[in-house]
Amino acid sequence: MNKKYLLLIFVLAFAAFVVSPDLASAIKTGGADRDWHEVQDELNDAPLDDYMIMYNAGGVDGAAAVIGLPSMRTYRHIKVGNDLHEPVFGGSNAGNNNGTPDGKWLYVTDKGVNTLGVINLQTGVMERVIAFPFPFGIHHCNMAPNGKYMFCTGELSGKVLKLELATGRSQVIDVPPAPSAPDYGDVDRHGDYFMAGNYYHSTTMVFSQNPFKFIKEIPVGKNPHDHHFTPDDRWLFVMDKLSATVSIINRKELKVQKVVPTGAGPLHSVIDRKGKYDYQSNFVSDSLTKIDVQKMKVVDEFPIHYRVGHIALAIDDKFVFALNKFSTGLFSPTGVVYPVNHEMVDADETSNSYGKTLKIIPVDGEPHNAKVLFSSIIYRWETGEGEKLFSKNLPNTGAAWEQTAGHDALNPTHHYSYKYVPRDTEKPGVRVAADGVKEVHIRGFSYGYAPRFVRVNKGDKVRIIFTNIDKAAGLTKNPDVTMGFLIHGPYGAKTHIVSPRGISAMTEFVADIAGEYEFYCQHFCGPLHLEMRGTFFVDDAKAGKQASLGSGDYDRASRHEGLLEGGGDYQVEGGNRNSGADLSGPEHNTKGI
Amino acid sequence: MLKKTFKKLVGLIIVVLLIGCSSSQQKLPEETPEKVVERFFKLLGEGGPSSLTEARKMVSDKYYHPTEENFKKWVDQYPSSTEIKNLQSKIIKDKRDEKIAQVTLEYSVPSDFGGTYTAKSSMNLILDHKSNSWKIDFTAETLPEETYKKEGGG
Repeated sequence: MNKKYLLLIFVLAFAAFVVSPDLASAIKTGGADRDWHEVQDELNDAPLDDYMIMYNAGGVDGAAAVIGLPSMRTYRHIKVGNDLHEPVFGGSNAGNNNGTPDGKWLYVTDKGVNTLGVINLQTGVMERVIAFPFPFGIHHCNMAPNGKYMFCTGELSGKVLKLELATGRSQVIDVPPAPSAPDYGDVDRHGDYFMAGNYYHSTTMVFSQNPFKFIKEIPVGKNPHDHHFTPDDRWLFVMDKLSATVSIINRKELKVQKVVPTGAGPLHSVIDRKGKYDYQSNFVSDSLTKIDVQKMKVVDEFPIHYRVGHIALAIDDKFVFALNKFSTGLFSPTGVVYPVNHEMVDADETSNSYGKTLKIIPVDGEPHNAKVLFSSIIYRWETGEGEKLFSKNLPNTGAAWEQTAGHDALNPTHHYSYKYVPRDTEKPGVRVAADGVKEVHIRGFSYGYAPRFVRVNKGDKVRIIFTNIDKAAGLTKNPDVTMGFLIHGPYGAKTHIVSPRGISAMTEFVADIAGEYEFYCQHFCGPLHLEMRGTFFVDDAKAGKQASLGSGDYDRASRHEGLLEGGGDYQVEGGNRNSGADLSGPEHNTKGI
Repeated sequence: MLKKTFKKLVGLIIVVLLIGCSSSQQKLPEETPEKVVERFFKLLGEGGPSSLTEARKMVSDKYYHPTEENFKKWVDQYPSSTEIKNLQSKIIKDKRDEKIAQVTLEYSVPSDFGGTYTAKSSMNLILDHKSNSWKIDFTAETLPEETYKKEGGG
């Protein structure tokens, strides 16, 4: 009798295994027995056999880290600017999230000063700085299919733009109504649409690439974050940060096809080359989830160390990388700016260690996004002909910037000019000090500033005294949340303050460029870090003009005087000199090469 | 029987009162709050491993105690020429009815516009019962500032 029951149970279990793809899949991947952390045998430091190289935009560090893969050794850092966010390879956007790099350029957005740093991949130095127009407030850029244009979001002003890379010319579109914050976006591979989230509108905005114009907004989950097209352009995956869902938009019909529940706090995602899986990073649930694109459901989940932000993918799809915002319990302390980390997870389903963490390394600054290419695309330098690799010696396309010799490597200024002072006890606000300086007493906390609006006059000497008043950091559970304060644009390099809990910091500058400039937290502090913002107005009182997005010294701001060491503004291209272009028409086609 | 119990009860009350009075009248630390703050900033100004280690020992660990490495990196960004003067203190009680010494002071630091910048500040000190000394509330855990969050909350 008992034997019969046992046989029945066995048959039922076997049937469930065969019938349920989920169960089969779970067993294939190791299921509940999976040990999430597998320590690999350490490689020797040299020679390293790194067949891939990762470029990581290092946020507050102002530098791009160059990391070998799979060794995960940091090779070097490339100085770029102030507060780096999105790295994009030159070439086509075809393929997975890394695109199809041409091996020439790496473009990196600098939110702190509103520019795009251009690194020559062959020399490993920054050779160009393209200014975005003012007001804009860059956050994110995506490459067009033909590699000649980029589409970028002006999170801090509610605008988007199309940028012609050869000339630095741009066409800007306003995205009302205010408040409006176009943020992460993606460009389809067919050259038809640019779609980007707007976290204040809780929508995905749709633009046509050529002619460059606004089409519509598609309501999605609350506070949409990252956006990615599948390589075949059929679907757009939208991370609904505060809804714990992924909205999947049908590109052809421009409507949401399905809403898939995922981990808590989905921030970013990557889609593999075949468009089979979309991996999401879930900040609150400390995991990466994996959606089968065809089935439109979660098929696996990988636990990661702690508080993942961005997520990156190896160019051969074999590894996913959790770019974690905190390193609690992992490394020795390093002071105000503590190390964050990259965690490499095996994504190869045929591997014995599939789904396991293979390595965790400390990374400078804040790991914003990272992109990966095959290292064979970078030439060996020891050929005796290294000089030829500088762009001035490459075939000339006739663009103005290529004629500007004499600055093979540009050196950006990256100030940390603040000092700490005894605790500020003045009430928050603006007042005139005894020495005639406009004193701005400001408090920062999770997730906001008091006051949120600061107004001074053009020509005022300004003294910012910023105090981090956080007692605890809520969801982050981190006792040492450092807060940032940075007024973007012309004041970016002068106000790059980071302040540990309880500490007051002071910086001084002359507000000599009128306009409306957002200030924000440039040091990651928690899930609503991106929304920690305020506005700094510099009114031109003598001219009787109150600062707004329509009134300010924006032409001057976009020249970025003093941004580069030892050079005049001629070294910074683009900006308002080249904005207002009409980049629509057959000659501005973005379709594939 | 009742008399005996009553006597015992009175005795117990007296003992409790005596203990209570003696603890509430615990002698305050010999080193005044002003002196503690003065010494703290003097050590920060001196810099160097031994001075900063000594300064960190003066920081209260009641709510939070920074690691040695963190503390040294943080205080490294205080200008060594920071001057502290006009210190005054008063004893208050925090929400938990614990004694807090509130020290007001004036500080001067070099200004980028030339000369020095002078401003007022205040620092809370927490009474450490174990060592009977005033300890610096370095991360301002005892400062009530929640209202600012409501005013400016993002």
